[in-house]
Amino acid sequence: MQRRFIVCDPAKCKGCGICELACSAAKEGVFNPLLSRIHVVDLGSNGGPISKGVSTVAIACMLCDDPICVKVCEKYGPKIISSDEEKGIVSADASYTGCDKCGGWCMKACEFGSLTLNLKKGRVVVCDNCSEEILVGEPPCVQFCPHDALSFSAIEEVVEGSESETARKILQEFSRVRRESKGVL
Amino acid sequence: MFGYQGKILHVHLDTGETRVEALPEEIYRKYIGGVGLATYLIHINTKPKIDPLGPENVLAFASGPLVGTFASMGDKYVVVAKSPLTGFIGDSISSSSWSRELKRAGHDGLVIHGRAENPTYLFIDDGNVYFKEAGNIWGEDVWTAEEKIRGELEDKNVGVISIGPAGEKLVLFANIMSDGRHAGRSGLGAVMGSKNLKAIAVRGTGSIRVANLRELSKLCLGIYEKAQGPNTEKYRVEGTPTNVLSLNAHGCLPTRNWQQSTFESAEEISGAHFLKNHTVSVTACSSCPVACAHNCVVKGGPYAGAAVSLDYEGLYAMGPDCGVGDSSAIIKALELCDFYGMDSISAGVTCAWAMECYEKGLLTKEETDGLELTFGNHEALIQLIHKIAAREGIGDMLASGVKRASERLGRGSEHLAIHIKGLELPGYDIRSLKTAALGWAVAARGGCHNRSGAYEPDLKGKVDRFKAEKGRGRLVMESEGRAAVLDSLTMCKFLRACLTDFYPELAKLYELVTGFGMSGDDLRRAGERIINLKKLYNIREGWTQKDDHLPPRVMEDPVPDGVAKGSLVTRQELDLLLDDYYEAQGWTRDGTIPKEKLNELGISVGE
Repeated sequence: MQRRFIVCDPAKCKGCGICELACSAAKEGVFNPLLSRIHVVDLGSNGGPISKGVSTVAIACMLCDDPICVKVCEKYGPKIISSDEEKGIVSADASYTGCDKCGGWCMKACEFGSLTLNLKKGRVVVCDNCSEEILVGEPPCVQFCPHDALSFSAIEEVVEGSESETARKILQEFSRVRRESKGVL
Repeated sequence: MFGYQGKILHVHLDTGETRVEALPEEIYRKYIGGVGLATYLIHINTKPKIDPLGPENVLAFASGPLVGTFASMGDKYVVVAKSPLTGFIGDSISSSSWSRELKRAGHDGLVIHGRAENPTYLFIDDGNVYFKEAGNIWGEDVWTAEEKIRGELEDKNVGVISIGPAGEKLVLFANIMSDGRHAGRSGLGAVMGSKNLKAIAVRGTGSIRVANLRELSKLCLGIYEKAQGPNTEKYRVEGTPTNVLSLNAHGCLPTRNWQQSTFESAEEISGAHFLKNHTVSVTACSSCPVACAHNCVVKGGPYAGAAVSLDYEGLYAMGPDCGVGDSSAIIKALELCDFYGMDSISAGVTCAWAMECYEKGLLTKEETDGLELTFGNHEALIQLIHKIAAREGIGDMLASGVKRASERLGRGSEHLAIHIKGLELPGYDIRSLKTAALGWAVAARGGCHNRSGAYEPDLKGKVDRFKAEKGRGRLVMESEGRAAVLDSLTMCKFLRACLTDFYPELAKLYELVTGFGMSGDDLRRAGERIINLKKLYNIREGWTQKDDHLPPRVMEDPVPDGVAKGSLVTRQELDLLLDDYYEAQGWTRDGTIPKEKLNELGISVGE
């Protein structure tokens, strides 16, 4: 089936972070950006008069065809991450609580910095397109984005042909920044 | 608790002690948060008549109950202290993720007491407070300080507020900055500097809970939709610089230290001009559904590379008020204010005063350290900004603000000083905006457009703006109340037009977040209580009716140009307006608060 995921248009993203709050509220019932499965990354903020960089973007799970997070978890980790081909999502075994004892291989391997360690749960969490929730309309992050920057789309709907490679590189750059800027997690 | 954390952190810089105070629920219900809560905190944590720059002054920070949730509409913190510029209440607000971090660290407010022996910065890491050596960042601009602190703490997401060199040098209109935004007015950066406190870094990892997430989600989605509608278009498209042309057309654009009310170069510094030639991105503050920050860059010429997040007030002060019609020079001047960490409104208005003094021969070239301080000379203006921040030469006199500078210079220059209670005026010529003139005259922190939106009825044509008449007192009082509620919740004022029914809708938001029952009328009452609490602080510090004044120029020099030609506010008109306002507030004829009024509002901090 055609895989759909949360896509952010950097031209529209204003870096407000409301998607992070919408995500943590929907998934955890509280407001906490550290519990969000979508993350705002500021590309180009390096101090200076303009606090936010030239562009900000929000990244959730990119739902790779052959997810590296699944592979490294299988090889080096507790073997709890799996890819659900039917739903088109990646998920971690909800009963597991030992991720904080692992080397964090999945988080390190993911090119997009999409996995987050939820310290309370002791488990990595990742965007699942809110497939477990009974949704009216689109996932909450998309619904709440006031700047109309997020959409729930298939990659083919967003970019075509050679553009997709450029888009991918840009996203990788964003996620590099995110990985480097990661705080407590 | 929902929305709130229920706790205030006290930090004593002199002894290194820290203490967490649990506030009773009643205080939250009464004073809401933000400016209400922080004003309450300075009332009970300071003695009357203290030196604003002495160790006994405190800095009280507070977030609002909505901060950290998606109902915040822009995470803001409020900081309140006795102002070194006015000697009255200094309350300043800034958008910043710092506010959310503080709350997630477990605190609704933070009170800084005493003075550190050596340059220090604080690191609040959830429940822990660390006093950190700041010798290596003392003297640095705020951006460098922020970067160095984040580097030292190895966390790029730590919230940091800091002061620049102007705050360290006790420039009386120094500000506190974070994320490129400012707690700009009333000189609280100097208070921070007087405490040897360079910065406060906060990392909060906790979660914020709300009472009714489902209903709150619905309400917020409705407001978000309006936040992208016609009511905020002005802020989103051109940003606040759009005011330049509209105020110019109204004959309300103060020019050359208020000697004129229209500017011949308005087109060259209009919102459209900046958008076309300078804006590189438009960004949002933390959790803001509008996005108004117009990030402007100079792309060529002598000021190439200068950059600032542009707003109208700074633009007015460095532009028309100093006779500067060069958009690149304005960006450069504002960038320097940010670099040094000082309020660009006060800085610009003070420089404009110096320019008029120079042109009128009240300041000699020797006294200006050789600067050719004529209106429009932006090279000289930029030199002057450097001098103010360093308190060097003529800059030392100007660093105390226009009131003190004019008192020190004398020679009739007091007539040219555009301030109320010592706070330099924002960019609306109130000679032809008579509701606003009253609003500015009575505002607790001095000449300010943010503590009441009293210009609205004037500019929207709801009243005859050229006329002073009974009824304006109530308009100002109501406007102040609404501002106090927004500043306490804390919600951005740019969202005000997105609310269908102001008090009931905000009360509903408050109730869904906190779980505390609150009717629209209760909230309106809270706004009134907060306005009275601020006024009570000023009375405590020696306020008398003569402090509700207007600048001499506004009362004696009629507008010479534009559609408002001939306008001014006479003594008789001001007296009529003040009487009407005091009566609307239920205050005495001389503007003090009767005991019955305090009892009626349930205010007991003065005892």
